[in-house]
Amino acid sequence: MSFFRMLMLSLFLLPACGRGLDLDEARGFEEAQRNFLAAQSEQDYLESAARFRALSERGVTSGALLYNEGNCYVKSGRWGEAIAAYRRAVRYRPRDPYLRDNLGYALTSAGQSVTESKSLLDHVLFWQGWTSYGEKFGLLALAATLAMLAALMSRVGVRRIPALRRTAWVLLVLTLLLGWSATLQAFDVEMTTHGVVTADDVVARKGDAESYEPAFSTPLHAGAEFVVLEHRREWLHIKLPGDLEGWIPVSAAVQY
Amino acid sequence: MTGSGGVGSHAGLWQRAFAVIAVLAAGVSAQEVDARLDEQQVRVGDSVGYTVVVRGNKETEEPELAGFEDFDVAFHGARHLTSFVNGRMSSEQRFSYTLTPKKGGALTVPAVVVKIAGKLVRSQALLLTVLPPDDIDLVRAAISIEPETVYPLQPFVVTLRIFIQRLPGPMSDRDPLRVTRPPRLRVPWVDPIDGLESKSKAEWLRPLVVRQRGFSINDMTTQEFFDQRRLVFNLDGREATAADAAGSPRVKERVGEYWVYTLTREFTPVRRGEYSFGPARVRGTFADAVGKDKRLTGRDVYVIAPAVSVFVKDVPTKGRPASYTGGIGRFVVTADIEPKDARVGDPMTLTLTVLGRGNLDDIGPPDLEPELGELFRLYEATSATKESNKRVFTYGLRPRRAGIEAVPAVSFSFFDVEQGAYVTDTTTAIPIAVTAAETVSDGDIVSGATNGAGRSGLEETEKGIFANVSDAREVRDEGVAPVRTYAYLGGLLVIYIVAGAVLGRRRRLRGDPALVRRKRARARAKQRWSAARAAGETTELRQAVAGLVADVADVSESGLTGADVHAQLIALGADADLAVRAQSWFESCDAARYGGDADPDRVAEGERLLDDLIAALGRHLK
Repeated sequence: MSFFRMLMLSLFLLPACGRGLDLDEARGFEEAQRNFLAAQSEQDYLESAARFRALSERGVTSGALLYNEGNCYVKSGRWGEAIAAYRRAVRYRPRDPYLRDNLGYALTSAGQSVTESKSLLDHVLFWQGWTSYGEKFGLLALAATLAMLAALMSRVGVRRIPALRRTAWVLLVLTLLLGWSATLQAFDVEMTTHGVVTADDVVARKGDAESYEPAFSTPLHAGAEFVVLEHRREWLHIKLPGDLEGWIPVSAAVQY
Repeated sequence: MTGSGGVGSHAGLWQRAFAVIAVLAAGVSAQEVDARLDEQQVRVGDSVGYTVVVRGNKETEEPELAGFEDFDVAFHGARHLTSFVNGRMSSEQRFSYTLTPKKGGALTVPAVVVKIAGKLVRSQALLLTVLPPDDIDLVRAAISIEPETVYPLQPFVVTLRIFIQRLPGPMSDRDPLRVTRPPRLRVPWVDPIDGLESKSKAEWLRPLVVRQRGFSINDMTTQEFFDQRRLVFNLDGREATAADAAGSPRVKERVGEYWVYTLTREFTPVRRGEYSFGPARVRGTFADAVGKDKRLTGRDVYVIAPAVSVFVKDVPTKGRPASYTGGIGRFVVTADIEPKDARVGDPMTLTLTVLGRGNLDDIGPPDLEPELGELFRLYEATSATKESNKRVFTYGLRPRRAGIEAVPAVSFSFFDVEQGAYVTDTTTAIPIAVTAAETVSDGDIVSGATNGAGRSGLEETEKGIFANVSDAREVRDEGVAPVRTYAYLGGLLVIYIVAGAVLGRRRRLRGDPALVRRKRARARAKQRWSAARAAGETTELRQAVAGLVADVADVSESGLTGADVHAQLIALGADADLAVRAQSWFESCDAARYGGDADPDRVAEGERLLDDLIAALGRHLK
């Protein structure tokens, strides 16, 4: 393989590829898995979840770990934590049918709706739910590299490749679309705090104290998903689907 | 006398003016774009070089080749040539193509249109005569395929036979190739064909390579020391038989008069469709008579073996079993399930492995619903080809009721090309144990609606989740650092801007001959000075310095006097003292040239002057 090809391949793979587990981490993973298979009580499953989470906290961001963690929570009946883990896992394993199935199971078990409405943006960026977070950035880097090469070659006047200038424009448009798609997900992952209610009968209030009036006519149940607008002491200002806002105690939810 | 002399000088002036206008006109229009063919006459199937020459300094786009429907056109690139003659630069661009005529007869190579500085300039059209192949009995060629209709993965053999008449006279029992240089074959199926598998080119042809007496194929060469040697292949020449001549009626009539040479290759189709082989071409000089001096005389021959096709047909629809999912070849199927002990509703994984040789990638997952649907709820299978001879289908399933004792046998059908019939293989039943599930609470009733698009209501209840990821190799750090990617994109943008600036500057330089001349002035002057000094030529020393000033000022250096140099230097902003020094040095050189004055300091002074001039004109030389 020529130096040029290796360089191009490296440039493409750089943002997308990740390292495997080291020996300690692999042992930790096997142990967590053994623990999960031998678990018989809710407490055992929670211990397995903690083992999988410990690996994540060591710096391994993996859809598989989050999926397993979600399974542990399902087995222990912690629907809110399970949904949060599965939602994070979907970012890295969007095409995993088992993950989708288990997420659906957790949602319905928690009494939440599993149907997701699609916006116009989802239709324009149709690959948004089909490609992982890393793949989006990998594709963006590849398209940008190809666009730059095509543009430079058309400026140099390479005549062997037909319609080079047009190709460069098409690649530029593709790069912009992929950039838009990747940036949207980066904003969602890096800049937005999501959360799931983990306790039952959580009363959302109109302010950050018990003394405020309830914000809604019924309490929230475990599994309700929201976006965090503000974090004030022991309270979270949250927005639920349908633009409903309220305050809930930090201890009643898991954030990611 | 005076009067006539005056009229004569006026007439001469007009004549010179007309000549200048004529030359200019010729240079601007007809001479700017020229088209050339390497040969005026070629044979059918041959190619000819075609060059479009665009003269002038202006950057041009690639010529527009419209109306070349009679030719296959291959572009080989453009070259930019620049030459300096007497201080004047001329340049031209050459665009090289190969034209392969699609038909015989007298063909017109259309004029091409080139855009020069926004104007369209047209070349002249050319004539090319394409001669038909020879239809003579001396040499004949034919292609045959056996069998002509096959199923995918059923091998077939393509044979090229070349029939050459026996040598005339007493040498008739000798191999005709003995007295001729290796004839050249053009065989289109030497390179890989999409949809067909065969031995590699090297595996196929290497055993045929000999030092002499044979054929060259597709002008293949080998490197020998510093030379390229054309490879010669032995096509196993022997006296032709009636079986050889089956596809060539003209040869069959007089089969005893021929020698035959055969080139065979076996292919295995992996896709359906029609595949064409040929035409193949034979070109060479073959002995056809004995001359008066009793020596053999040769004749140039060019013959074509017409193309022949093989049809790779689909497997029959008649008798196709329901469990057929596209497999063609020869396979065995096995099954396994994990876990073997489960409760009703628990997820289980059934693995179906198809092992063998055939179109593994095209085989779809067998539909297990008829055999397992009553006992298990089945989920869509995933497929993967492993180790080049194994196709693995993985099914997710859940037992529907307690008491299931085995996964029933599963059928898998494929088309066996050797038998020419469908064959069904069956797995063995796998013992399992399914026990009753725990009591299902309201909270355990789920829809699982995420798996199906367009589902509107609740579905059959399912309990439990699919299994964990258990393979540590599947766990990778998939963390993303968007900042790193954005930094990379920024780097790309910087590279593009810098490269764009460099390219723009290069293009600007190329487009301005005066600038090019100025940029090269210093090196050219130094080079000329060194050469002149070595030769001891005062005139050349003078011209080296004059050339420097002329290049910087973009004027002709011929006829540049000391006074001219002084004026040019002042105009270029040089110091007046330097201009005077230069003028006096020039005059001393002129004096030496015409008067033989030998001043030993002239060379040293000239060298100092050249350095000072380069320093003074430095800003023009950058």
